[in-house]
Amino acid sequence: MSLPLDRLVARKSGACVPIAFRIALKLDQVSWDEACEDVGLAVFALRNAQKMFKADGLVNWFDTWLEAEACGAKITRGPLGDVTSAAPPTALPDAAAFTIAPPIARAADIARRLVAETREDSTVIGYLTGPATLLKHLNIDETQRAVDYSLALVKLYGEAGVGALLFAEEEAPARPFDAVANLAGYYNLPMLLAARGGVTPEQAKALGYRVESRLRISGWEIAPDTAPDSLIGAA
Amino acid sequence: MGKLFDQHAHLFPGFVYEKDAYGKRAGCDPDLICHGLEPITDIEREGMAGLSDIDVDLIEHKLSSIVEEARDVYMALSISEGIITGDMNCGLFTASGDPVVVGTGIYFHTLLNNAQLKYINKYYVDDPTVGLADGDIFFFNEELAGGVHNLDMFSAMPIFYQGKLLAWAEVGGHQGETGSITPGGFAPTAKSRYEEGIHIPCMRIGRNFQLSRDVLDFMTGSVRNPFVFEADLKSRVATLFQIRNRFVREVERRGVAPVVGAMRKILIKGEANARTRLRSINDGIFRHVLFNDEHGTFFGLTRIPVTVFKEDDTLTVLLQGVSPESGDGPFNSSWHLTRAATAVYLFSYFFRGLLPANAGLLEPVRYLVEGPSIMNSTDEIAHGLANQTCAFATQNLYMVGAKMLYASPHREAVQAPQSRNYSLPIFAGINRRNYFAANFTGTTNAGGGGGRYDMDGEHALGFYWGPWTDAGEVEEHDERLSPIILARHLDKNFHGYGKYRGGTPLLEVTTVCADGCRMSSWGSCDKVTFNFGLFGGYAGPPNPRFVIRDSDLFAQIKAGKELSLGQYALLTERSLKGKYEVTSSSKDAAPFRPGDLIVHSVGASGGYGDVLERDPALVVKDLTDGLITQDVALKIYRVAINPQTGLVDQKKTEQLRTAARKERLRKGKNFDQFIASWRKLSPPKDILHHYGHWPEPRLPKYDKPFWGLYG
Repeated sequence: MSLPLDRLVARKSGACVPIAFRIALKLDQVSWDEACEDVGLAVFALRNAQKMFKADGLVNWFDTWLEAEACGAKITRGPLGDVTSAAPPTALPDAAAFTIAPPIARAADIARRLVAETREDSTVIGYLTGPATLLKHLNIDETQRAVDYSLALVKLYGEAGVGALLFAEEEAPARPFDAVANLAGYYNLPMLLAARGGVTPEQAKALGYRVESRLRISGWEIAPDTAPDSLIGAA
Repeated sequence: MGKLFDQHAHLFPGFVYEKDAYGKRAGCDPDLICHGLEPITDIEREGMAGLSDIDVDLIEHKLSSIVEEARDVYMALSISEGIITGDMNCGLFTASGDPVVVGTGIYFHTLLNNAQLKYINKYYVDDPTVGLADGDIFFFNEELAGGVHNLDMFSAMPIFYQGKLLAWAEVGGHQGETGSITPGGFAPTAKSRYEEGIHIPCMRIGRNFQLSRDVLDFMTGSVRNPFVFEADLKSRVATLFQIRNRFVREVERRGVAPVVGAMRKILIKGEANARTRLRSINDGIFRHVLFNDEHGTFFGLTRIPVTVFKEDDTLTVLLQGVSPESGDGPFNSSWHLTRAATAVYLFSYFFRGLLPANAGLLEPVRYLVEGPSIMNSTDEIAHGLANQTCAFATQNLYMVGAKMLYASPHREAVQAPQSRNYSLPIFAGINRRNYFAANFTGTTNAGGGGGRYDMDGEHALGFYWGPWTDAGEVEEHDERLSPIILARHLDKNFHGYGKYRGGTPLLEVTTVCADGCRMSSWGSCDKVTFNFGLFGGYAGPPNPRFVIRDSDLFAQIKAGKELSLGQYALLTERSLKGKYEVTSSSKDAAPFRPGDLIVHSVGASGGYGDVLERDPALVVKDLTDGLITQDVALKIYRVAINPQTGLVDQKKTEQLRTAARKERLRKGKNFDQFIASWRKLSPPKDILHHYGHWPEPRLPKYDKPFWGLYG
C-alpha cells in the first residue's frame, strides 16, 4: 500500500507533491517512446525525480489525452510526449477493451509498481483526466461512456493501492462524475484537482475535490524545460 | 602505527590480528578478504582525469538510483521474511570487486561479499574449466569466503560492455533455511560447520542470463523450503538483470571511462571524507568491555574488550584479551564479520552524513582482531550465530564512539547502543499458502533505539544492522508463516531509564492454531545485558526467552475475557493459566501446540544520563503512555506524582531527589577502595568454561586491575 493521503498530510512538516512527470523523464534521459515501451524505466525515472525533489508523493502519469488515446485517438507527440496534433477517436471501445488498451494498462502498471516499490514512504497518486477535458477529448456529449472509462481507471488504481487520485483539467474544471466520486470513496481515495487555467482552493472544494492546507501540490505539470533555479517556484 | 598505539599496545605473540584466523581453503582466500581496496586500473585513471566533481556527483546519484531501485524491486519480489523486511543488499562493485554504491536495508552487508568477486577474478577467470562471460550468474553463501553466515545468500553477475568487464552487480540477503540441523538455518546446537547446511563459496549457477536447472535442482534439493528458495533465487536474478540493464544504459550514454572512473572516485571520496571527520575528533585511547552470557544452548561467560586508538586521521580498532573460540556452539565470529559489524555503528553514527557508505570510508580504519578467538575464529567450528557474536564489537564501539564524539563537533551522534538483547524465535511449518516456510517475523526489525544526548531513544527503531528496515504487516506474516501473531505493542518497564530513556521494542505475542508448527530460538543476553546505558543511564534489561506452554488462552478468548498480553502483565499478573518458562534464549526446535504462547522481542535500549535529571513532566508522560509504572516513577526517577490528579508534587520530588543524591554519596567509595574489593570477586567456576583464564583470558596470572594495560 502507498501511504494514504491523510497520513501523508498528518506529517509534521506537511507534504509537497510536485507534478513532475515529463521533467522526470527528461532528467533521466528517458524519451516518451522509451517510457511507453519500458514501464520499468518510466518507474525508475519517476522515483529518481521524487528522490531528487524530496517529494512526498508522485503522480504515476500526466497526459490529458491518456483515456482518449486508449480509445483510439490519433496523437502525434514530441520527444517528451507533448501533443503536437490530436484527432479524437472515431469509435469508442467498451470499458473492458478500454481497460486493457496499452495506455491504460501502462498507467495502471506504473501505479502498481510505484506502490510496490515505494511502500509506505510516500503517496502514489493515480492520474485521471478531469471530466470536462475527458468529454472534450473523446468528442462526446453523452457522459456515460466517459463515466465508464473513469470508473475503470479508478478501479485499477484502487486495486493497485494508490493513496489518492489526481484529476487534470485543461478546460474549466467540472465536478467529478458522481459514480466516480462514489467509487473513489469506496477505495478511500481523496480526489485532488489540477487545472491548467488555475483554480482557487474554494472553487476546488465547491466542486467536490479535496483541499488540504498542509498539502502543497503544483497547480499543473512543471514544464520540462524549467531552469533548475526556478524549480522550487514552479513546484 | 601511530605513536599512541606503539607506546600503549602490545600484541600477543602466536595470534593472528589483521586477517581471518583460517588459511586458504576451497573457494576461500582470506588474503583477498583483508587487503582493502584494489589498485586503480588504467581505465579508471583515464576516466578520473576527465571528471569534474559535479560529474562524479551526477554519476553517483545515477548509480545510487540504480541500486535503490534494485533494493525495492528485490524486496517486492521476494517471499522470505528477512528480505521483505529489509535484511538485504543490492550493490554495484568495481570490476576488481570493491563495493561502490549499495541499496540496502542494513549496512552490515555493505562491506561483505566482495571477496567472492575477487576470488572469481583471481582464480576462475583464466581457468578454462570455469572462465567468465557476459550473462554468467554466480551464487555464494559461505561465510569463510567473505560472507556473514550461510543463511545470507547472494548472487552476482559480471557486467560486460563491448566484451570488457566493467563492473559487478550483486544482490542478496537473509533467506534463512539452509538445510541445517535446525529448520530455518539458525542452529543453536551446532558444534561444527557441517551441521549448518549448505555452504557454497562461489559457484556459477547460470550462463547466458539463464539459471541452470540442474544446479537449481541440487540447491533446492538441499533445503527444506524448495519453493521459497527457488522463488527468492529467481527474484535475486531478476534484480541483477535490472541493475545490469540500468548500468549498461548509463555506460551507453556517458561512455566507459567516465562511469568506471567515477566509481573509483566515489571510493576515493569516501576515504577522504572519513579522514576529514577523524581529524576533527580528539586523539586518544578509548576502551569498553562486554561480557556475553550464552553459548549455543547453555550459559557461560565470555569477554570481548575493544580498545580504539584515535590518532590524527586514523582509527585502530583492537580486540584483544578476547575469550577463546568455542567448539560447543555456533557463537563464533570472523575477522571480516567483526569488521563489517562495527561499520554499522561507524556508518550510522560516527561517519554520519558521509555518504555513500562504501569500502572507502573504512580505509583509514585498521582492524586488529585477536584470533583464534570467538571474535576471529577458525574454520571448522560452527559460525551460524556469528551475527550475534560480532555485534559484541559493535556494542562496544557504540560506547567508545560516544566518548569520542561527545567532545567533538559531532555530539549529535552520541547515543546509547541500539538493542542487541536478542531472543528470536524461528517458526517452521506449512504456512497458510500451503508451502513450508521457516523464518522469523519482522519484529526483529523493531528493537529499541538508545537514549540520545538530547532526547529519548526511539521506540521500535529498526533492525540492529541498519535502520531502513520494516517490521512487516502482521497479516502478511500470518499468511507466510505457520503461527498467528496475537499482539504487537510497546511494553511496560521494558527499557533503560535515564535523563533520556532508551527506546522499547515492539513486543510480539504469538500462538499456534494447529499442530505442525515447530519453533527454535536463539539469542543471548539472558542474564547480562548488551544494551549499556550511557553516562549514568540505566542499561536496557536482559531479555531471556519467555514461553507459556499449555495455556488456557483459547478458553479465555472463547469466554470473552479481556486479556492483557504484555510481557510485564503476564509475568506479574499470571492471568493465563499454563506452564511459564523463562529460559536461555537459544533452544533447539520443538513442536508448539495450540494455546502455547511465545512472547518475544529483540530487546530494549539503555538510557542516557542520570535518572535524577529526567524532567518530571517526561516521567508523567511515560506513565500516561504506559511505558512505566508508578513504582518506577517513584523508586527510580524519584518523582512524586499524585495518583488522583496525575500532577507532579514538585516540592516532594525535589526532596526525594536530594535524599537520593545524599544516599549515593553515603554509599560511594573512592576508586582505590572500590577496586580493592572488586578484585576479590570472581564469577562461579561453572560459567567460566569458555572464558579462558580469569580474569584475563589470554594471560595466566595476569592480575592488573583493568584489561588492556599490558605494559
